[in-house]
Amino acid sequence: MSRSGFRQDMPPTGGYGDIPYKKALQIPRLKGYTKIAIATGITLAGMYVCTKQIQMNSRLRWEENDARLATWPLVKAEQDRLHLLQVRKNRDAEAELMKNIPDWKVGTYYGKPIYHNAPENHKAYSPDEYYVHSDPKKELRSYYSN
Amino acid sequence: MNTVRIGFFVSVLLSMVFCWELAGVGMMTCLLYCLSLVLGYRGGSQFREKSSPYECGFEPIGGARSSFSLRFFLLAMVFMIFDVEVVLLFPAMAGMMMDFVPVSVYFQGFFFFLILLLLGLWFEWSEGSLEWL
Amino acid sequence: MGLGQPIADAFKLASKGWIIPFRSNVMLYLFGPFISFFISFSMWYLLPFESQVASFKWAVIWFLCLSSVNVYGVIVSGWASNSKYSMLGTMRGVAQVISYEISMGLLMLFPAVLGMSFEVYEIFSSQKWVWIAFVSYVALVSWSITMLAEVQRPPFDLAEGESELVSGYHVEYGGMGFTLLFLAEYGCLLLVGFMLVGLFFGALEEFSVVFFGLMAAWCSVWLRASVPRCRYDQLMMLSWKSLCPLGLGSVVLAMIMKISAGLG
Repeated sequence: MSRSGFRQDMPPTGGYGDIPYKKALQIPRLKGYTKIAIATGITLAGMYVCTKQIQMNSRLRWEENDARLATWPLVKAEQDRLHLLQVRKNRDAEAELMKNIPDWKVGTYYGKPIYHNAPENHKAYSPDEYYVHSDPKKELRSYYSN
Repeated sequence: MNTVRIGFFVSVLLSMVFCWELAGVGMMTCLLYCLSLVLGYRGGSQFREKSSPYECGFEPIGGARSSFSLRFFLLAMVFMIFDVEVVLLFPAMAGMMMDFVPVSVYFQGFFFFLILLLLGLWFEWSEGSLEWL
Repeated sequence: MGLGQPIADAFKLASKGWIIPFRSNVMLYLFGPFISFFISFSMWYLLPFESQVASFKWAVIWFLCLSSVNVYGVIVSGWASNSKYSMLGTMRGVAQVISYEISMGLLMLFPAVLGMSFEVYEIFSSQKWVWIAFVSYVALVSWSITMLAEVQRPPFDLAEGESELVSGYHVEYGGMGFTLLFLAEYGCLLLVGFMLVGLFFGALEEFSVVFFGLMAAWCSVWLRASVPRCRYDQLMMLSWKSLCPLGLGSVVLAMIMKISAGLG
């Protein structure tokens, strides 16, 4: 029972080599002090740029604030206009509602006028009265879409 | 009068978008939880062996609501002090970063405060209430 | 195509059986996962996208408040389920979270002062020239460690050490209670990744926030695979003796930089 081509698995000629137990570092590493120096450098540079960045952001914020102050009268006027429109709408609705009652005076509450020109109670309405003649869905829609 | 309440409702609704979102999360969680509690109901706590607390194959010995180490309590006390200090730092920083007052004024005040914090930490450290073992 | 697998898993988890452990506080036991999930998903309002719908001015304080309240989920679910393992896990978890909360609050002030706002979007968009990670890498590393401990991820998952306590504070949970606790944990983890990317690397667009935030979350999973769990006293010492002074130092550094920016 000859096995032709059979070869016993043996060690290579001359035996095995030494086991390379030492760690072979392929990548040249930086020294510790170099690493610390690089990190410190990056940090210092970052700090410098960050102070500049803070100044820039601060200036942007001041500019924004100035713009807000400059446009404030315009915005305030527009708010007042919207307020007057709403008040007029309430007054007209009241007149429409109460036109059949003979001695009804529009815009009064037990004989006292409720609409004033005086600035101190210019907007002193409760939301109940202010939105009383409006449609909630419509108000919401006008709030969320321009 | 219903129309009056509607007007109030509008004005409240305008300011409550955020709360609606929170309520959305709560409702979603409730829905998921209740649904699965119904789906996964296998007779709850009627089997005594099944519902006994888990203890690696043994019968549970003693109660679970035992006392705990005083270390945890001391740690909670130290945490209380430090957390109050951190919370005090937040409005200070808010004032500083929004340029309310010249920064140096805040710095003089809160540099002192931070040094006090560090001294407090050092005191706890040297006294040994931070040691765990 | 394994795309249906997660959905099927979710359905399977939802229809798993649950028990009420013997002599447990039933209401609290059922309520604990709800608290965890609700708080963790309420935190997502400060999602740092450029196209965000809602933005609120004190978002940093919102984050601080909710992550401190988050510990109540652990307390309630661990204490109410009347098991020794969950009790021990709860004690550990609570002590860990409250210790790391100090350094979290302090380190969170660092980007807030440098970005000059408590609004998350403002902080993110203020980093136009340099990332805050380059200003102080110490703060970045401390913040990462703090956040890992705050959401109780490995190597700081002492509250659910599988080798000692079987699963910590959620041993007794099955079905949806377990699912909600886990969803809460992973939701916190993702949000923390997004916050890290935004606060320290100024990511602003949807793509970069999501991509790099997911990478940060992935790094925590990577850490779980490569780092052994640390000892409990070491964990506490790391919090009180390293991170707390470092956080105080970061605040002082930020103040000094703000002042020098004002002078220059």
